[in-house]
Amino acid sequence: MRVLLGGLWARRGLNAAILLIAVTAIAASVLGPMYGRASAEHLLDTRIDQRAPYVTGLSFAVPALPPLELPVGDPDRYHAPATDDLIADAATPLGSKVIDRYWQPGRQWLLDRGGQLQYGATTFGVPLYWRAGMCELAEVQGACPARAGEVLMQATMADTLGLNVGDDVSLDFVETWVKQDTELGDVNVDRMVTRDFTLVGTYRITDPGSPEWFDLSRFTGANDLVPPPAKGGGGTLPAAPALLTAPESMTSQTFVGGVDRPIDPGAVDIDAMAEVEDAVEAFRSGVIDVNTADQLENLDVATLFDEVRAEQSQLSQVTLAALAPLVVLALLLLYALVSSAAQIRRPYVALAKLRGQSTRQVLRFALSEPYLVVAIAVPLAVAIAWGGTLLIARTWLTPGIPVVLDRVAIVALVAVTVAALVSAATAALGVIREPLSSALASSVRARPSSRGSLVLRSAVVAVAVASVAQLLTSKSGSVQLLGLLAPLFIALATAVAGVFLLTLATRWWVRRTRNGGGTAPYLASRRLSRRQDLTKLMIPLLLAVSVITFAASASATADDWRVSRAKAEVGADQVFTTNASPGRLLKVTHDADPEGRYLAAAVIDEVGDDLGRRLLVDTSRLSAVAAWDDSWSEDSVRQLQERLTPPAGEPVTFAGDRVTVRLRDVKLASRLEGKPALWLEYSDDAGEQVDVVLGDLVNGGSATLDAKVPGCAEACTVEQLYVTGSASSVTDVQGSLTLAEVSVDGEPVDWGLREDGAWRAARPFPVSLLDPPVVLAPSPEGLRLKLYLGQLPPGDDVAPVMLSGVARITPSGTPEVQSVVITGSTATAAPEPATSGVGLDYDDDVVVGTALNGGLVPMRVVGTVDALPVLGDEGAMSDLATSLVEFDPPSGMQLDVQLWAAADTPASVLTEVREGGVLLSDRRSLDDTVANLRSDAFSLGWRIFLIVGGLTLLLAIFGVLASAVAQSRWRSYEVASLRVVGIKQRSLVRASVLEYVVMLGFAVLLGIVSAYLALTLALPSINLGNAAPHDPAATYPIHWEIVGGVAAVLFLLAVLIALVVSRRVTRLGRPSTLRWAEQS
Amino acid sequence: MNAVSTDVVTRAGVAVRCLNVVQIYTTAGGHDVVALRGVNLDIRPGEQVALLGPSGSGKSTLLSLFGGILRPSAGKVLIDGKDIARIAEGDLGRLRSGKVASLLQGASRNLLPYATAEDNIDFARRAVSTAQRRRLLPPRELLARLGMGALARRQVSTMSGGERQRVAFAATVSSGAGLLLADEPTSQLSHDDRDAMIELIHQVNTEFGTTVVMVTHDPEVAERMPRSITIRNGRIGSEGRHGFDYAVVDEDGAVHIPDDLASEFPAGRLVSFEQAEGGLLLRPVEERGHVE
Repeated sequence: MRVLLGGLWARRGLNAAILLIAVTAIAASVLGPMYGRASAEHLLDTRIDQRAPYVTGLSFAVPALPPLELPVGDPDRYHAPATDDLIADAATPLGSKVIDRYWQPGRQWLLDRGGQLQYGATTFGVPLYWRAGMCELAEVQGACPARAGEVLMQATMADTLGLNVGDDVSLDFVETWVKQDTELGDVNVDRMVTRDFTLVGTYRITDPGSPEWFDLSRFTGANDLVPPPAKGGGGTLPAAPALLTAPESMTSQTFVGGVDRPIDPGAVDIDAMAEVEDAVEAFRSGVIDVNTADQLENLDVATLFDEVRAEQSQLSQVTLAALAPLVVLALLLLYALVSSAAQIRRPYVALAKLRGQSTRQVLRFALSEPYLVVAIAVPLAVAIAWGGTLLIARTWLTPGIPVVLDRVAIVALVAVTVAALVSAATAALGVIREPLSSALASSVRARPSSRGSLVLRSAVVAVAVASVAQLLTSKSGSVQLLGLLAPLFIALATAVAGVFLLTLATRWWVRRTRNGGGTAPYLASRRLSRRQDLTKLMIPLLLAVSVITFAASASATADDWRVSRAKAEVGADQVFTTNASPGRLLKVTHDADPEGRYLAAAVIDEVGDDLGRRLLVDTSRLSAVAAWDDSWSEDSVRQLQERLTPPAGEPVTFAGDRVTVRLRDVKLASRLEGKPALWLEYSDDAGEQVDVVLGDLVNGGSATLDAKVPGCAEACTVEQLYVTGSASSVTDVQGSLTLAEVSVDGEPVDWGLREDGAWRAARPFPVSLLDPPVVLAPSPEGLRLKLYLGQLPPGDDVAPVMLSGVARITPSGTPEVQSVVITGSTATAAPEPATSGVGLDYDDDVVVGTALNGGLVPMRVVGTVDALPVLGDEGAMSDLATSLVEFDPPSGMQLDVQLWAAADTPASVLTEVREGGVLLSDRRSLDDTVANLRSDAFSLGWRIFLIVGGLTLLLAIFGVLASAVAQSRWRSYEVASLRVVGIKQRSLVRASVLEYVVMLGFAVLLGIVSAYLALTLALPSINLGNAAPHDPAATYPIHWEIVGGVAAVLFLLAVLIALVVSRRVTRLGRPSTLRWAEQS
Repeated sequence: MNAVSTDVVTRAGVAVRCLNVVQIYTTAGGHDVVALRGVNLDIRPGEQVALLGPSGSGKSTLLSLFGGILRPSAGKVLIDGKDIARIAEGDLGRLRSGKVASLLQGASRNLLPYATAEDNIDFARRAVSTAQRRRLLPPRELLARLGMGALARRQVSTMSGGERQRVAFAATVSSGAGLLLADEPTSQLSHDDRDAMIELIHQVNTEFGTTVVMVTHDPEVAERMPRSITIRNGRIGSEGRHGFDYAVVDEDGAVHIPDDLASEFPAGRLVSFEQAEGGLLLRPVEERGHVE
């Protein structure tokens, strides 16, 4: 043992290097699975937290009143059953199970009655909930509900809504019963019943993971609850945390009783997922009789767990692929350093043989030292892996995520430790197997490559070629692990080829320098061509350069894509949902931000397909506000903005209280005896669209129509004049009339009624996109309108009857054909030809688009891009202001109206918007979205890839230095020999520098080539993340700035290494070195 | 210098015999070099023999053959009656651990420089069987007997050249081998150290009958050995016994001219043999047919 420890200490530098390499290899192999496990736990927790409220719960319940057994009779005589009866009813199908909670699921709406709540007409779907012991399980401020009508509200929600103890809230319930003996027979009738509740306190859930409690708040955001906007017209109501109440409050027919889940999701970890699934299934099929129990709350654990498993698998693959190069490199370096150590110990191994030690004894002597180092490395590596994983987990993952040395980590530990031992044994065996006579010689004769080495190298090349071929012939993303490992294979194959090429190149170099060209180049080329141990030094550096370049470039590509996806998802740096109308928001944004630097109004409809999937945005601010990704288009967003924004026409405006229109020559007919009227649509001072009826149209020589125009004290903008019948009835008006004069508050105003082209027919047209129901003819007497509602003039295949038609005209300042930018995957169609005698004709490039209100509109495609904000890879973007003038959305139409704000928008600007009466809620930001995307499994994996790439590079540099230093002893003999024969020291330094620069420079160059091949061949096959529908496709540009940067830095580093090593070698290589060598 | 106790080594000397031994090396360039050209030699058990000769004459090669480090290309090398060419590799190891001890040129090549003297003796005895080892002196005691007690706990790398050489000798003989092969054991040593080393060799031989074969360049050292053999061009050129030098007739009948007469018999010179009283007269011929 003393001999062993003495040897260990005598070669402490080299053994320390071996220790470091072994620790790196083993720690990397252990850290990978440990990090993978921790990340999987993180993903599990995150995914559970991200679940929507309506799919949560592990409880089973039965409704007290089965839906098919509705009460019958007069609704006014209907009374909800008493609580006791309900409980008894609910308990019956659950048999012996004790019901420990009751609730009324989110059918009821929490309403604002009389502006009591802070936010206007905000409506939530909210359940009522009671369970045994709830006030002990929750942290309650105030009293525990004890009587009917008392509720506790989740504290954050109460704060957000500005409610206090004692305030009342109202809930609307829908009750259904059967009304018998009507004219239609027995029919189900709904009735809305409103009940008031009083807040007696607030609650917080302090221990969501408690098996006794089901956290009703966590899925709606316990700490940052922002009231979502009210969206009329149905759809899913925004969910809110439950109101806790007493059982007596539950008297509705939607009353439900149930038993809580037997499993604690908070305690679920990766290992327990299968167990949980089994338990849920057992609970579902065994404890509760599925024939009688309805599963109202349902945590679909199978889907959730499958999602986590899929992400875990992806993460494991990325982590494995990231760590594989590091482990391979470490094992290669370990082999190289143990080989160097074995060469140093060669005389001692020979001495052992000379002393007659048996093969076993020699093996023990030769291997004990490297094995002891590896043995020391194991606990160190495990400790480092543990600490590293803990550090990473605390930095990146959910706080408190456990770090476990699980079975996979132990298997990896054993595998890499065995690999390290085999690598050390292989390196040492070269010396052990050397004949004694050769081992006792002072010089080491270069040996030809062994057959095993040739087979190994051939195998590496074959695997690389096969993997690339497989990638090229496979569907993208279908060979994920192979794609991720391909860069390693390619780098190894390049390294094998590189050593061969370097040998060939240096032989050619030797021939060139043999008869001239200087001593230094000759010495450098001669040495490089002869010493494979030197040329093999390039392998670790090449591998590391390839890995770090690939990792950096691929990470940048993946992150670029993530940012692109985030931009396509969010639309701008900040996005707020508003309750304002589009016109109002447009006005407010222009008032608050007149220069158009910060704000833009946008309306989104993602429901349709192709051009029906649309984004209407204030395009005059697009480039300043929209989150545009340069990868989406060759054109800049500024260029697209210019093409989308219509030329500023002169608007028709007025200010006053009353508008008077004088008519002449009104000659109208209606077969259905409709009563046509003339309407004015304008945008008021607040930007809201207002429609006023100017008056009925009566046949006669002339008439004057007059109406009050509210909201026009400053300047209202005329959008349309239109003729229609009574609301939503069939319109049938033919004939003509002349708009002779307009006056405001008695003063004549010039609305351009006599000018050619000042007005045009406005859409939507009732029959087709190209057949207007009105034809305009300006004259000195005024603007003559020929109306064809119900009967178009003769043409091809004229529709005989038109329904619900409106004949509209609008000032021509708004372009008739709107500009649109579409994505490449958006289908377009040309309009059907006009059928009437007054039909319009457009250029061939006009397509059928969809306007703000869903009507058809002629559009001209002014740009095709890969993706659009909010819409992603399918849809169309056009100007909001243009569309508003002509396509007023009908009242009650559900619109997603958003305020887009630039990142640097001053708070005062947003305040001004709010003060303008616009409610801003549901803030989303590009940064948050990017951050969220960066937290997914792929992102976490790529981050590891990058870190490991850096580590690989550091390790390679260290390995190259350590190997070079280990070789320097023998190299110094050579240098000394050359100095003895008269070669100048300067030439020797130059030769050494040249030698290392050429070799390491070659490694850097080939590393870059290898990375380029991997980026070109492998990266497009790798799944960079979980793409949602309509996410923009990833692009795979080579990040030349990264490639060039890595190449430049590493080449400089190679020169530095060359200088350091050469200096050391030539400093050691004095003539006296030879004497010392002889003595030792 | 203390006398070596009888329990340091327990075996009698080992005999060495060479029969027409030829040794051919292949160089790195692929050329064959004949190192020994039919050597015949008998060394009796307990003999002390010095091998002399110029560099490259083949004496170290011969020593390597005796030590089982090399196997002869042709001929036979019998160590204790066993032909080393026919001994399996494992048995060669046992031969080196039990019967033959080699002291390589350069003290450090025989030692682990990072270990102490006694650890080196332990290391040298690793191959010795447990039973045999029990009969050997413990390392520290052995070193004390050899006058190196003070060096026992010292690391070799801290010792002087002479100390190293003596420790190397102690380690080499510590296994109790019957044949000691020493390659230039006195080179690079001071006179005192050289004398001490020769004394050690004599004592081991005298006390235990250990056969000693020593390669040396130094005629003074060779003179202090009872028998010296000079190797020239891969052949045994002459032999000195007890102060007298003799030429050796080899199997082909060739005889090497002694060094001191070599200038009178340059290569290519014709000689004539004549019977003379009590021997053979060697006479150079000046020209064809004319004796000088």
